[in-house]
Amino acid sequence: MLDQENKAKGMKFRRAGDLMVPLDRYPHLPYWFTLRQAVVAMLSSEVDVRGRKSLPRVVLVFDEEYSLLGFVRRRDILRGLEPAVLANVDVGESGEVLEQQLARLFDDANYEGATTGIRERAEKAVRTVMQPIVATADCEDHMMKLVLKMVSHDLHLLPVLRDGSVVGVVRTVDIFEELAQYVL
Amino acid sequence: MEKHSCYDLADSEHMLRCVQEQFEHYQELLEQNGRVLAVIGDMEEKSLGEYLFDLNYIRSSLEQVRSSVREIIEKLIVLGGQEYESLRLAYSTIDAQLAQLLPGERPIDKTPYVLWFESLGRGDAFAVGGKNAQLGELRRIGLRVPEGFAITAWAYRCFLDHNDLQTRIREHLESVDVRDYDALVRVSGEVNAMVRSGSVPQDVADAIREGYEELVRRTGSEAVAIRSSGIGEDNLFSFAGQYATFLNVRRESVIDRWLDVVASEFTPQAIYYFLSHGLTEPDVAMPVGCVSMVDAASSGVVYTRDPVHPSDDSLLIHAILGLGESLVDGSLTPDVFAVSRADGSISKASIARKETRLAMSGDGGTALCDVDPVRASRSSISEAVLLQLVTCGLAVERHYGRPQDIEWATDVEGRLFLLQTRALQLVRHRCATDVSFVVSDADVLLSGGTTACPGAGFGPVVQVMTERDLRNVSDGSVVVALNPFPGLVITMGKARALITEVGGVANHIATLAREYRMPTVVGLRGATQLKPGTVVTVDATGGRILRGERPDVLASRRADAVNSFEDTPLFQGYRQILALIAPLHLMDPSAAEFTPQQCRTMHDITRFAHQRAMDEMFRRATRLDSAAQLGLQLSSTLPMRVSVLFLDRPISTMGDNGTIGEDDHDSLPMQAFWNGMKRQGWPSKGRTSSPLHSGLATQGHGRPVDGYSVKSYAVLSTTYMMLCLRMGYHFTTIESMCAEQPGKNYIRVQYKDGGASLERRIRRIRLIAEVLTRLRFDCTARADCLNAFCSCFEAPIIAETLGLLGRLVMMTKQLDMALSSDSVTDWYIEDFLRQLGLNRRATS
Repeated sequence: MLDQENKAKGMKFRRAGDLMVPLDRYPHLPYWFTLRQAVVAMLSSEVDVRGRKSLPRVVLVFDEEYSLLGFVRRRDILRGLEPAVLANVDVGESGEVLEQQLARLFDDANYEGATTGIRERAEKAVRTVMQPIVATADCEDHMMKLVLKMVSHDLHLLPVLRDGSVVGVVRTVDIFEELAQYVL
Repeated sequence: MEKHSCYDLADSEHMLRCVQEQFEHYQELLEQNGRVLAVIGDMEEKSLGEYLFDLNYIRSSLEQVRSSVREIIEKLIVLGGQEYESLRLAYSTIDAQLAQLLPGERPIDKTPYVLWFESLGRGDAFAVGGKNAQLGELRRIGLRVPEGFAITAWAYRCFLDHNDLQTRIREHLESVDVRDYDALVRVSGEVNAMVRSGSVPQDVADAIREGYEELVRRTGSEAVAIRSSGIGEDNLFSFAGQYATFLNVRRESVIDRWLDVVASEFTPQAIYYFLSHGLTEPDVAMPVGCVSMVDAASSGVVYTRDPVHPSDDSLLIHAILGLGESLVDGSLTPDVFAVSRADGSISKASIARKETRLAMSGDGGTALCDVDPVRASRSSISEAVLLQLVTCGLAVERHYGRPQDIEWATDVEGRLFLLQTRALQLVRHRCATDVSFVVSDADVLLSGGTTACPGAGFGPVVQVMTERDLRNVSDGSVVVALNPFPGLVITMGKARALITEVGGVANHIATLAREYRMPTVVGLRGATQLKPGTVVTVDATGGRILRGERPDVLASRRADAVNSFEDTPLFQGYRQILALIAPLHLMDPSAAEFTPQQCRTMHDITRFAHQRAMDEMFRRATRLDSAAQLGLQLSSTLPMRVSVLFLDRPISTMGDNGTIGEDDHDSLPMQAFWNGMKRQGWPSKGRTSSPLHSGLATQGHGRPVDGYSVKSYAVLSTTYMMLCLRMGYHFTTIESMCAEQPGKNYIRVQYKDGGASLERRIRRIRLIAEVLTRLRFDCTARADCLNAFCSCFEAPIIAETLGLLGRLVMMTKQLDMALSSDSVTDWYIEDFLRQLGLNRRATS
C-alpha cells in the first residue's frame, strides 16, 4: 500500500539520514566512565523517536575530543560484570556438571561476597568491554544498504556520518519499523 | 628562558610588579573588610543587651569601623578607578549622622550668644542644649512653656576661650582618680575657682543682659530661673540633676548665676559623672536657659508611663506644693497619682503630709515655708489640674513617639506650664535567671521600699548623711542615705547597693542608678537606723534588705541589673548608632540598586566595596594573558599544563628552571584544591588500550581550540588562589582566599561551557549547583554558566571545601556527555553527593 502511494507521489526509499536518531538524543559516555554509569544510562535514558519511547540497548562511547570510539551493548556490560572464575567454567559440559559448578560458585550463603564482587566489577571503565566501530553508514545510504551492513556484521546499531562526522545512529528497530510498512 | 621570549626580564618584572601591587591593595582591602565585619559583629552582640559596655567601647569601635571603611573605599578607588569615588560621599553622609549621636563629635556651631525659645526646636540641641531645645519644641506644638531664651554653647565656648580655660581644665582633669573622693573635691574646687575668676567677654555679657531686659519687658517680671541645659543631656547620658539651677534670680545677679551654672559642670559629682562615662570637658559644653520664673503654687513630674511597670495603663503624676526643686532632689515626698491613660480615672492616689514648701523669696532666691496645717494633708493639686496634666502628658508623648518624663508647675492663677521634657527611662521586667531562693521572714531586716534599679548587692552598711560622709564609702559598701542627693553618684563605681530612706522613682538619683546599674531601693523606712558595718544583702528587685550575705539572692538577681542596662540612655543611643553601622541593605550584586548611592550604613559600604573589589580582581586575573607567559610551569602527576604566577614574591625567586613542583609551593588554597584533584585522579587514563586509536569525529559541538587541559594558569600567594582551568571543553575558574581570619575567606567558582549539547551542559550546571549548594555556596546559574560563592568560613573549612571542589572538577570532566536525561542527572547528583560524603551531612 505504502509502496504504491509513495510510487504515485514519485517518492523514494528513505535514507539513513531520515531514519537515524540524532546524536544528541542518544545516550553516550566518555570511555573512562564505568559500567555502573553505563547501566544508569541504559535504565534512565528514554530514547524518544517519532513519539515512540524505548530504553536504549546500546550506549555510545566517546573520547576526550568527542570522537566516537565504539559502543557497549547490554551483553557487553553483562560480560564485564561476570566473575573472572566463570571464564574457567566449561559451558560445553553436560548440564549436570555445569549446574554443580555454578551451584558451588553462587550459593546463597555466598550472597554477600557475590554482590560485592558485582559492585566492584561495575567500577571497570566501559572501554574494557566496548565494541569497536566496524561499520558506519552515510546519511545518504539507502535503507537496504543499512540492512546489509547490519546483517553481515551482526549489528544492532550503525553510526551515521555526514561529511565524515558522526551525526546520529540508526538502529535495527528503526529499519524494522520502516520495512514493516512495506510488508504489512 | 623560552617562556620569557616575548619580554625581557626587566619588563616581565615590571609587569608582575604592577599586578602584585594591585593584589596588595586587594589584600589590604580584604584585611580591612575582615576587621570591619569583626567589629560590627561584636557591636551587634553588645546590642543584644547581655553585655555591658561604656562610651569608650562605642568610641573605639566606631573609630575602627570608620578608619577601615575609609581605607576600603580608597583601596577600591585604586583598584577600580574613579567610578567608585561616589562612595566617599556615601561615607560622609553616614558619618555626619553618626556625629550627631556622639558627644564631642561635632564642633560647637557658631551661633548668636542668645537664642529665644520661639526660634528653637528639638533639632537645636547642639547649640542650646536639650532642655532649651525641648522647651522650644513644646512651644511649637502649642503647649504653654515659660518665656525665655537660651544662652548658647557658643557663648560658653567664647567664655572658655577668652580665659584660656579649656587647656587648663583639661590638664586638671587628666590627673584625677575618680574613685578618690578627696581628689575629686580638690580638683573640683580648683576648676571651680578658675571658672568663677574668669572674666566674661563684654559682648557675651551684653547679649545676656539685653536678653534679660527683653524678657522682663515681655513678662513684666524681673524674676528668672537660670537653668543648666548641657549638651549631651538626655542624649547618650542623662546627666540627671548634675548641674545647677538657680531660681528667682534678679537683674544684678544674672551674669554671676550663669557663671555658677557653668561652674557646676565641675562639681565633684559632675566631674565623677562625666569622667566615669569616658566623657571629657569638650563633650559637655554648657548652654544655659534663662527662663521667666513661674511662681509655683504646685509643681511636679509627669511620667507618661509607670517606669517600673511600663505595661500598666497608667500615667504617674508626682506633685508637691511650691517650687519643684524639692521633688527632683528627693528632699520632699510628693503626692503620687496613678491615672488611667485610657479614661483619666485615678486608680491610686497617695497624699503625702506636707510640712514645708519651697517658695520664692521677696529679694531673690528661695526659702522653705511652713504649710498651713489645713492644707498639709490635702492634695497639692485639684482634679482639674490632674486632668490637664494627663491631656498634656499624652500630647507630648504622642509628639515624641515615646514615653516622656515631664516637669511642670502651676502658677498662682492656676495656669499650667511645662518646664522640661525628656525621654522616660523605663525599667522593663525581663525574664530573670531561673535560680530560685527562699527568704524566711526572720531574714528580712527591712521591706517595703521602691525599686529604683533592680538587682542585688551585699556588703557592710555605710551611712551617708552628708556629702562629707561620701569619703567613707569604700569598695563593696552598701550605701544608706536619708535622701537621694546628687552627690551620691560618686559612690556608684564603688558601692554594691544604694538605699535611701525617703524619695521615689521620680528623682535624679533613681535615673543615675539605672545608668550605673547600681541596685537601688528608695523610700525604705528605717534604713538609716541600720548599724554601720552590718553586712546585709540588698534585694533591690524585691525592695528589701536581708540579713548577711545571700549568694542565692545575688545569683538570682544578677540578670536584673544587666537587663536594666538596656533602659539606659547610653544603650538606647547605642542602638541608634548601630542602626547606621550594622544593617545590610545591599544584598544582590546584580540588582539595579547595588550602587554607592544606596549605601545607608557602613556595612552597606563594605559590602559594596568588597563585592566590587573582588569583581575587579577577578576581571584582572582572568585577563592576565601575560601571566601565562610570565609564570612557571607546574610539574604535576596530573597530565595538565598549568602556568603559575606568584603575587607575593619576585620572579627571580620563583621555582627552578621555570618549573615548580606541585608540592613545592606554599599556596594553601592551591594545595587544598590540587590535592582534591589528585585524590580523584585524572579520569581519562588508559586511552591507549582502547580498540580504536582514533575515533570518529562528531559535528555540531565546539572543538577544544587548544586541545584539552592547555593554557590553564594559576595566580597564587600563600593565602590566595586564582585558578583558571581549561579542561577540554569547559572553563572553570576558582578563586579563593584562605587566611587565618574567617572574615577574609571566600571561594568563588565560575563554571562555563562544555562539549555536549546545550541541554546536557545545562544539566551538568544543575548538578554542580546542587552539589555546591550542599557545600553552602550561593549559586546563580544562567544557561550553561554557573557562578557560585561562599564566604566567611574558617581556613580549615575553606581548605576542605577546596579539596571537594578539586574532586568535583575531576568528576564532572566531560560529564555533560553522559547526562542524556533529567533522571540520569538526578542519579549522578545522588551518586556524587554520596562519593563526596555530602549526603550524610545534608541529613545530619
